[in-house]
Amino acid sequence: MELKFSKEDQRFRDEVRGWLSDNIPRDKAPPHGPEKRAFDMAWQKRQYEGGWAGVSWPSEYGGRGLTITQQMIWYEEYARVGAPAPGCMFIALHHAGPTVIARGNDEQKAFHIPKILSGEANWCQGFSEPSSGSDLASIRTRGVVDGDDLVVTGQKIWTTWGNISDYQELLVRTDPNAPRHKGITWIIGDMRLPGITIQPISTMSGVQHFCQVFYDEVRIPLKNVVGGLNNGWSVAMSTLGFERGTAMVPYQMELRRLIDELCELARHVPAPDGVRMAIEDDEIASRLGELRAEIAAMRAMTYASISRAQRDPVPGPEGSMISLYWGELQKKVTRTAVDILGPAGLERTGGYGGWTQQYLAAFKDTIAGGTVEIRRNVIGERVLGLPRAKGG
Amino acid sequence: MIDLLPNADEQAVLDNFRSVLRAEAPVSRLREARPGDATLLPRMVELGWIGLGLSEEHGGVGYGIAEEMLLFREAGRHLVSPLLLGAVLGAHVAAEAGDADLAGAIIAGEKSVALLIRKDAKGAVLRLDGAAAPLALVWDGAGMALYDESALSGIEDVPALDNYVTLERASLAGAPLLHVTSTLPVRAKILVSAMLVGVAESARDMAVDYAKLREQFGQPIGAFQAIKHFCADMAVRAEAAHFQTLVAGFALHENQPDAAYQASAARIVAADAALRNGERNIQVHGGIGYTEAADPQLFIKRAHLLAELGGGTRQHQRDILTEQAPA
Repeated sequence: MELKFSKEDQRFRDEVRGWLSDNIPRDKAPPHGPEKRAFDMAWQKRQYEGGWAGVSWPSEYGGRGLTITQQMIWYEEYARVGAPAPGCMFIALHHAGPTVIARGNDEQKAFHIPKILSGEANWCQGFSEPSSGSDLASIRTRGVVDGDDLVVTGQKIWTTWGNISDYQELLVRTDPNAPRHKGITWIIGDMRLPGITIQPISTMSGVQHFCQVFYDEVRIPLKNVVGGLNNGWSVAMSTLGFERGTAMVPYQMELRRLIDELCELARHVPAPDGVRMAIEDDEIASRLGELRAEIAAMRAMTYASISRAQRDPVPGPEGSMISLYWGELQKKVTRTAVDILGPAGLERTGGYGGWTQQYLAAFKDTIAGGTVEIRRNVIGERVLGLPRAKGG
Repeated sequence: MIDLLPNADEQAVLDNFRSVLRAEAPVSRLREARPGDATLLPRMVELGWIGLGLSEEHGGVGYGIAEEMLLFREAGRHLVSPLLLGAVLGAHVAAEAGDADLAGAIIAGEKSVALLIRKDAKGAVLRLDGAAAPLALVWDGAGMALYDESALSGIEDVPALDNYVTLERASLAGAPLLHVTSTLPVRAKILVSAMLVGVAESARDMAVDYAKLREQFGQPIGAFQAIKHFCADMAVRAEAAHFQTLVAGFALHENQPDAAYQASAARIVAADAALRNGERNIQVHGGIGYTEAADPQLFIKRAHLLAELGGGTRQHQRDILTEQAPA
């Protein structure tokens, strides 16, 4: 056991720090729409041109091919300077890209990976459907083979940034007669194909990042299938080994900054007694102390995940532990902010309005990407070996 | 290098702790023997566990905090008497203060060291498993003090929440034999965290095993989400607490400026994991979990006891607000 950065890693950190401080965008990312896309893609392009895109991605497709520790250092420094979140590049960088690397063929990799890294193309996810949320294997959007195409008809929902994405990792049912996990195909869909209709959905936080997407006999070339026809469930479930454990680092660092800001807030707003400052209130101090401890522990869990990845390239289900911990903590932090603010938290703009906005936005963090209930099922069944419920 | 998993040598050390404790310290012993692990402690002395993290010139084995963390995690799993921690920390205090004879006597098991918990600022203390201990140890964030037993007066037995230790009320007065203001309180915080991790992990394992075995409504209760989710939360809390404790240990080992912050974080999440896992374990067991004959009750009781060592959780929550986070 050891926790010590080598001289080489330290030098790498200094280099990263220097580049980031000279290059991060000074403007705030627009909340949604084409302006957001332009902003996120320009930032990705800048990282690519600086040689910082895909730190641990294979070098033959434009990545740097460095170690997972260096990937983590990159994200730590990235978040430390307050660089913008990947935004509408998230699925491309953390889900679709790694999946194509792990399961795509050479042609797919050579075409798509450089486009992602250079900020030319971004992706969204086409998994959930109105009747298939937590029970993802029940999807009904149909894909029928016709000549060289797969003809797709159906509906997807909760497609984050679907309205400003180029490609989609799309799950469709290609064999309705096969057992439900065996009749699904993972295919790369171009979001501009004829027959696709995209409708943004307003959320409780006011930000439009969700969409529903309708498919009316959309013809997608069969060569876009990743991992083989009817083999899509295994492709969708293949998390990647080479970046395991680091995808949450920017979120963890961002959350740590948020907690530091929250402690600062508590030094400047009154306690419930109206006399002392909030941080002098015993209950508030206790809650803040607990949050500071929990964000430290989330970092430790990331280090544990990296430790495991170095021993065993086959990823375990422990990523569910980190995402569960993060989702719950994100909600706890923003809720504490609103509690500390009291009546000032009722205002959504002005001095402290940002906290209220973040509080509302955090409700998605225990739902999106698999609800915390599903994350607990995965931990219970795949980490602890508990049985599945009959009929479940 | 980031590597929080044991290498082959560390695994061998860990396997040794485990095989000894499994054979000689099943938790069922607590219901039979007198409290205080009077037969187990001499065995640990013989195995060199007291001086594990002290250099050979101080009469120790020459390992470091990594092995000590592994030891105390296993000690927590087996609910080993607080006298083990007393001896290990007492030997550290004596070695740091330059009293080689005393360090040697503690490592050799000639003098046992009882842990004290302060009840107030006027000298009221509780002594744990210490009726036969010639020395007593107490600490807070500022320092660690080793006392001769004669500094205690008005000693009286008191029934304990954790009835598997002996608890005594006493008054502490006068000057300590030795007092150190080094990083030892941080080390103590980390080792207490490691014991709490062990308690949390044992409670998790017991609950999971029972949930796989016990059937109701025609299936193992672990198939039901209500139970499965309890167990998943227990696993996450234990995972967070274990790895945070290791991070704190290595921050201290490397003299990092955030060592105190990491130790407080470990202590906070480990106490939370031990207490909540202890409670959930009883709930998962249902009626049997509430009985004296079953083991779940042992772990929640020990969690409360350990969570008061060196100051309670509220104190650590305050401490961490001003301690330096990693750069």
